[in-house]
Amino acid sequence: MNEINKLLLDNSFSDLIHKEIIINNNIIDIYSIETITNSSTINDFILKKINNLKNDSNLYEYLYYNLPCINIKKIDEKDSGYHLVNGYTIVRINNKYLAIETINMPSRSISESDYEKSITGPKDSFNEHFNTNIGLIRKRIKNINLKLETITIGKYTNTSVGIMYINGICKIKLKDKIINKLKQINTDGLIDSSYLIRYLSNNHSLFPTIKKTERPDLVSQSLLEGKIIIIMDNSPDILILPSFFIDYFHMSDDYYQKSFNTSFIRIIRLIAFIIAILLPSYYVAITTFNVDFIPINLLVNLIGQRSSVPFPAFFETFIMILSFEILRESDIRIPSNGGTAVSILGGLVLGDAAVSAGIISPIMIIVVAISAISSLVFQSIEVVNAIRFWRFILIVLSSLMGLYGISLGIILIINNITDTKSIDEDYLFPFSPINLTEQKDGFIKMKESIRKRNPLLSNNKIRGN
Amino acid sequence: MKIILIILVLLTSGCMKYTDLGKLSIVKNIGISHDNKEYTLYAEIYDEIKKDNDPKTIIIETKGKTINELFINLNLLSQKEIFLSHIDLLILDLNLEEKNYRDIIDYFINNQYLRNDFLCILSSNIELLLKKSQYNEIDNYIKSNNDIKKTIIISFNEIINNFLNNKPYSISLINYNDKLEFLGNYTYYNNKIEMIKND
Repeated sequence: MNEINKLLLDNSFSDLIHKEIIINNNIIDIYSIETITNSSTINDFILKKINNLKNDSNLYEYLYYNLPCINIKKIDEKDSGYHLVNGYTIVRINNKYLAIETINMPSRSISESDYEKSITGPKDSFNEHFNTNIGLIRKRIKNINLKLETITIGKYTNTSVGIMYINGICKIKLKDKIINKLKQINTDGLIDSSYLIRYLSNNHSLFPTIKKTERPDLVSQSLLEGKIIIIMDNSPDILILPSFFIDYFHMSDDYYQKSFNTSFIRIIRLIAFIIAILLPSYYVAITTFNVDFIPINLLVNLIGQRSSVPFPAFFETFIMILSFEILRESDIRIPSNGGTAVSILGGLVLGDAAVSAGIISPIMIIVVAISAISSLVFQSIEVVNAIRFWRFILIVLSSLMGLYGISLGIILIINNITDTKSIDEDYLFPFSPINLTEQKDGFIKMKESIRKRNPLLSNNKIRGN
Repeated sequence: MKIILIILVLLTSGCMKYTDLGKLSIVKNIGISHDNKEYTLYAEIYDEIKKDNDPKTIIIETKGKTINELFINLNLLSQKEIFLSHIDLLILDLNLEEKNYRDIIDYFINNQYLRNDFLCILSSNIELLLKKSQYNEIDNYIKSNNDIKKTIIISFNEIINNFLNNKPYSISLINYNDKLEFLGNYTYYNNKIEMIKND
């Protein structure tokens, strides 16, 4: 008894359909899973053809060559289960198997990205469908050098993972290294592409070394730079690697604007990054240890504001930041129709009421709000999380040692970032090691001109070649 | 090695003084005079600073044989810790002698919590000047008259430098008599209190 029949008999696969046709004393078994296959394709192109069969001595070979399907394979019995769960219809004739693609996996349509918004440029984004995602990239890079290598990972999930790169730009050694790492993954299953990050990234930095994106234009841009992308079935997030620290200050619509505007907004992002990490700790430091840093008029103002607050500055800051993080987390999880309640609670209770009650000083609200808004400039949630972590560390250090503690914290952050590698490439590139050509698209974007490619990513040096 | 480094960084970093903003008495302006026996300090400090109220100042007067004693007494009289980093104005008595200058400079140089970039003037009636006029008024008065080459803007740092390097320096004499009144500049040279009044 074959493997599929066993499934039918023990009644544990209720969406498995079996149809038996007898032609010329030959029994033809047709198997498919109705939830992931297109029944009209099966009816129109497989059943009709089989029903119209005349006496043929070799039905198996006849069907293989004559069924009007582009993707039809001769398979062994042991592979029949794998193909069945991947949306193929299995045809068994005299213990020989054919797998015919009739896949119709449920997926959502292409829509605009929720968290990677842009004012100008394309609006489409990836979805959970493997082929759709590849199609969105191929639509942009119509070149036979755009390669796709697919491997299957996950003992139970059998998830397709595609590695895309442009042959002639990308370094093949780097690509081979990534594929080797992926092939070594031994796991029960992969649910999202984030699962792959832990296998591909082996450093302890909180800053992300593999960029996730939902935007096909950004992915295409990265491929043209010589980067490698990983697409996983059932995940709308495409992985771009290697990714450098500077990449998180670049947004895809930076390239759709004039260089001057792009440079300006990138500097704003850098300032926002510094404010997001340092502002609360700086507030704690100057109000507890380094009071002489505050101009007299501001100092008098601060003393007035803090006169009714019963907590030390550190505790006050800690409470406010913790409250904000709780608010943000609940805002993400809450259904959209409950968002108003969170806004009212957050805006009124944490803001106005806490100040009126004398629990929190108004300046504290300003500090936390500016810091929180600054951290939300970044699209990557990993960057926001890294900022949050370092913000807490710096607050603790500043509450113990003032500005000296902040200096120590900054040294720790720089040490952490410089020690980080993204697939063995320096994370701080092009600043460390210094590469002046690549810095033309660093924090300052120089006017478009013929530029060399990133030497870490490509041997094909001049763009346009 | 890393742990040793971290411990060294933390333990050899020197003292860090925790200061609670609510427990500070910020000194705004000070005036120092000396009669034959002892020094007198007039300190204008911020009184209770409350939210939604304009901050008010009070003047505390203390006496002591040394400058250090003056500030210790000021601390005792004030309800909170005296905070000297934000002094705006130092008013020196017209009759201070060279030894008095040396004492004042000695104290201010050795106090690590002091910044010596505040404005310095002379007055023959410090208490009245502090009571009747604000720092901003005096500052504006000196700066506006400096434009027409009359008053002299000099910080305490410049006085220290010139005093220690035996260079002459001039300070403006300002009194209050219904309004601010400029009474001339006094130049000190060779560390002698040989004053030249130049109008």
